[in-house]
Amino acid sequence: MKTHPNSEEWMSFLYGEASPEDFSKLEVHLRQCADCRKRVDQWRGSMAALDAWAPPAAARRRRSVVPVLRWAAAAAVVLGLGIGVGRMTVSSSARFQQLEMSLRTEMETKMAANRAEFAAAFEKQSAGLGVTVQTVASQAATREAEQLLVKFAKSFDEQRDADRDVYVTALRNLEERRASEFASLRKDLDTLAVNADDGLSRTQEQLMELASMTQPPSN
Amino acid sequence: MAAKLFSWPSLFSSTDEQAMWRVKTDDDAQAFAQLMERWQGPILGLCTRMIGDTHRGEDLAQEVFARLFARRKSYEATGKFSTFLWRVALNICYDELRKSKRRREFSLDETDDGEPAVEFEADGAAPDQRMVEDERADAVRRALVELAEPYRVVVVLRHYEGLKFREIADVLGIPEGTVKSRMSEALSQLGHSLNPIISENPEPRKSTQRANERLLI
Repeated sequence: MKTHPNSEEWMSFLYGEASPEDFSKLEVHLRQCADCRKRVDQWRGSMAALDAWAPPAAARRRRSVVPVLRWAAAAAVVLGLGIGVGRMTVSSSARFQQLEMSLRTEMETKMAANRAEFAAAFEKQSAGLGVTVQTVASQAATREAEQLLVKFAKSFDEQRDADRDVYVTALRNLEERRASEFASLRKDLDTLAVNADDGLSRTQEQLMELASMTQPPSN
Repeated sequence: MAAKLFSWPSLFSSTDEQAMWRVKTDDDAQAFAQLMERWQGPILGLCTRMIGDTHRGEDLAQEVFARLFARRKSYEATGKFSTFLWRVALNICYDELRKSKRRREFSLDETDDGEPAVEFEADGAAPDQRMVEDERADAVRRALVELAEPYRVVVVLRHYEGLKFREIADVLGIPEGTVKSRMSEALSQLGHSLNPIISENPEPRKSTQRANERLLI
């Protein structure tokens, strides 16, 4: 490279956006050219100085936002603090194994809890409706009306079974999706951990505040 | 009942674009909360660094999300959500900078009637309390605020927010080459204003190290 690279090329170089070929060429040039080395060193000095200002709440941007389960993300954030400490002392692979295990346990627990909670709510609601229908039936003045209501109760039961199937299918889909997203979730854990600072609680407060402010009245 | 079940996957997160689409079409508060959760940090960082004041930055970040919601109907599904959001946020910052500039001019002309300049001034006279302990951080804050806005915005988006030069070009609607040349000019100017810090800075250069790590991978 006989001519000096221009400042635009050097910016790509300094911020890691140059292609591998360009990067190598620029680096070779840098070794051989004192003028360019001086310029680049000045820029590097400025870059290093800029790092001195890190507002505490300005979390690093999550570069890739992949769809994840909300509760899994929450679990990851909770685990983040522990991970942050862990990463100081444990080797990277061990840390990931540990992380994977704790995350899996967490996810499975939450999934089981969700399942149980949902099933209970479903049963409760179904039972409530069934009782209501039977009560109305017993109070019906005519035999005909009672028969109609019994028929309705029967169809209601059938519908409930169908709904239960839908519910099971939905849960199965959830679990399949959970498995496929588990891998991508792990990749983002480091980033999430960075966000698990004390700014989180304030962010949550602001979040709730604005969410409630902007939420339209439910119809 | 079945319909209700199928809405249950609202537990899932979605891409920013999907979430914003739900905000636009259904005024979906949950999707909006999800966007806020993801973007609160970056937007706060942008506002704080553009304005040079942590407290004011927090207020502005709130305004950004309020305006994002107000402008939800103008979001186009073909566009990247992040580009849309950065633009909204930058407009808020520019508005604030214009306002604070007017206030400064006013307080200089009408010293008796003007508000105390120190209370509003964004650039220098009122160092944020959190920054006082760290002179270096404060020096950087001042140097950034002294940079002209076209340079400052590039530094903030590239160096602090980690956008690629291409993305910055999209957000600002200028050629990528212009973004890079502004970045180099900004670093040169910062080199002068931050010279005291740089010369007393023997510690490892993080950004430089990051760039060099590419070689080792």
